[in-house]
Amino acid sequence: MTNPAQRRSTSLAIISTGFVVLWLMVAAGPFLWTLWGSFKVQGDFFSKADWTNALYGVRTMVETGDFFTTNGYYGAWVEHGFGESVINTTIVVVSTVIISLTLGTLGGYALARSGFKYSFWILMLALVFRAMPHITLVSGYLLPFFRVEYLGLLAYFNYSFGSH
Amino acid sequence: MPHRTFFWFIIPSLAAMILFIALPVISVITQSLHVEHEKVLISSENCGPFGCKQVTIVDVAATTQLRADQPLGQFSGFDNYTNRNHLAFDEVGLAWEGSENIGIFIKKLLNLPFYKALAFTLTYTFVVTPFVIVLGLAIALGVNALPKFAKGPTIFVSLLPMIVTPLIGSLILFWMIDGEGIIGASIQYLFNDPGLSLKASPALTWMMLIVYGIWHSAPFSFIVFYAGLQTVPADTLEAATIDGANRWQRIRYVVVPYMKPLVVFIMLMQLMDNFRVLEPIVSFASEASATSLSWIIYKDLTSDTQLFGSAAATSMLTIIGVAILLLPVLFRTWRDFSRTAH
Repeated sequence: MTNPAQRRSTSLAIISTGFVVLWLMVAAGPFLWTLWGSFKVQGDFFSKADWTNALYGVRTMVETGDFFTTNGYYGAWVEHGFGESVINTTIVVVSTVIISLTLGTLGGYALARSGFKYSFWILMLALVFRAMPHITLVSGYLLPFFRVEYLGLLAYFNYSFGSH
Repeated sequence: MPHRTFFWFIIPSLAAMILFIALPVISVITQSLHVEHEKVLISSENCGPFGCKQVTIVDVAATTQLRADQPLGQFSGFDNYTNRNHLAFDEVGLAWEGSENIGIFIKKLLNLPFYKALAFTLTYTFVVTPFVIVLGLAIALGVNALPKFAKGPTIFVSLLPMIVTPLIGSLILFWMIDGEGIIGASIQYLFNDPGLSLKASPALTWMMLIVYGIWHSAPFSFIVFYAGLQTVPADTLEAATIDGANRWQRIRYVVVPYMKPLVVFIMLMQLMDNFRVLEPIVSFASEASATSLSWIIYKDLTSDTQLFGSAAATSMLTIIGVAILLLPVLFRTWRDFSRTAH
C-alpha cells in the first residue's frame, strides 16, 4: 500500500483487526474447548458440579493420577472402532467427489457454453433438485429397495457378490 | 455449441439426476398416496361355562404376510396430505371458526405438528440467511485488510465451523450451553439467575438454534466474498478515491455493487441449505420447542413403526415449499437468461 489515500487510520485498523480477532475466538472457541476436554475424563468434561473442572481436571487427577489422559482416544479408536468409520467415510468421500466432479464438470461446461432455451430449464431443474432436503428422498429410496428385495433380486446380488 | 455436442456433455449428469432424484421423487409421490396396512384382526366367539364372549385378536402371521405381499401399504388417496399430522384441513377449519381473534388462531395453528415445523423452518431460513450474508462480508473485509502473513491461518480458523459436520458442531455447542457447561454457566452468572436454562424456554431455544445456524454458515459466505474481493478492480477503487470517496463510500458504492452476483448466489445456497435444517435439532434435542420439516420426516422414518406414507407426504410438501421459496430467484435468472440468450 504505497498510495497514501489507501492508508488506513489507526482507529479503523484497530476496529477491523479487533473484529477479526473476535470472530476467530468465536469460530475456534468450541474446537479448542473440545480439544482441551478430550484429554480429560468424562466426569470432568461433562462435570455436573462445576464446569471449571473441565479446565483444571479435578476428576482426571483423581482417576488417572495425571493432569492429561488419552483414555478418551483409546475409547474412540480401540473400543468403539473409530478406524472402521474412517474407512467407510473415506470410501464415500472419494467416490462421491470423483463421480460428482466428473459429471458436474461435463454438464456445467455444456450449460455454460450453450444458449438454448432447454439448457435453462435443465439448469432450473438441477437447482430445484439441489434445493430438496436430502431426507425427502429417503422414503423414495426405500420403496425400490423393498421391491428389489421382494423380487428376490437383492438376495441374488448378495449371493453373486458374496461368492466372488 | 451444436445440439449434438451439448447432448453428449449433459447426458451423464442428466442420467444421474433422473436415476437418483427424478425416479425417487416419483417413488415418493407413489408412497405418499399409500398408508401402512392395519393389523389383520380375527374375531372369534369364545364360549366358556359362563356364556360366550366375542374375542378379537391380531393375526400376526396374516399381518406379516399382507405387509410382505404389498409393501406399499394400502391406497389412501390424499389422506396423508390432509390428516392431522400434515395440512390438517379439518383442524385448521375448526380452529378458524372457534377462535375469537387471529392471535388465538395462530396459537392453535402452531400446536399442529406441520405448522409448528413450518413456522420454525421459515423463521430459521429468513433470519439466518441475511445475518450470514452481512457477517460473511464483514469478516471478508476484515481479513482482506490483514497483513499478508496473517491471512492464511486466519482463513483456516475461519473455515472451521463449516468444515466440521453439523451433527458434531451442534453437539459441541450443546454441551457448552448446558446449565453446567461453560457458556450456560457464564450466562447464568452474567444474568445472576441460577435457574436460567437456554434449553427450557422455546424463545431461547429458537435463538440458540439460529445463533448456531449463523455460526455454522458464516464461513461459507465469508469464503465466497473473500474470493470475490480479490477480483474487485483496483482501477475503479482508485478512481473512486480520486473522486473523493472515503473508505465507507468506496465499500458502499464500489465493492458492494461488485459483490451483487455473489450476494444472489449466497442467498440462493443459504435459502436451500437453511430450509433443510435437521442436525442441530437432533443434536440439541430441541423437538419440544422447535421442529423443522426435515425433522418431521426424520421422526416418521425412525419411529418404531416406520411411517413411510406419512414421511413421503411431508417430503412432497417440503419439496413444494422449496420450489415456492426459489420462485423469485428462478424468475430473476430466467430474465437474465432471456436477455443473453441467442
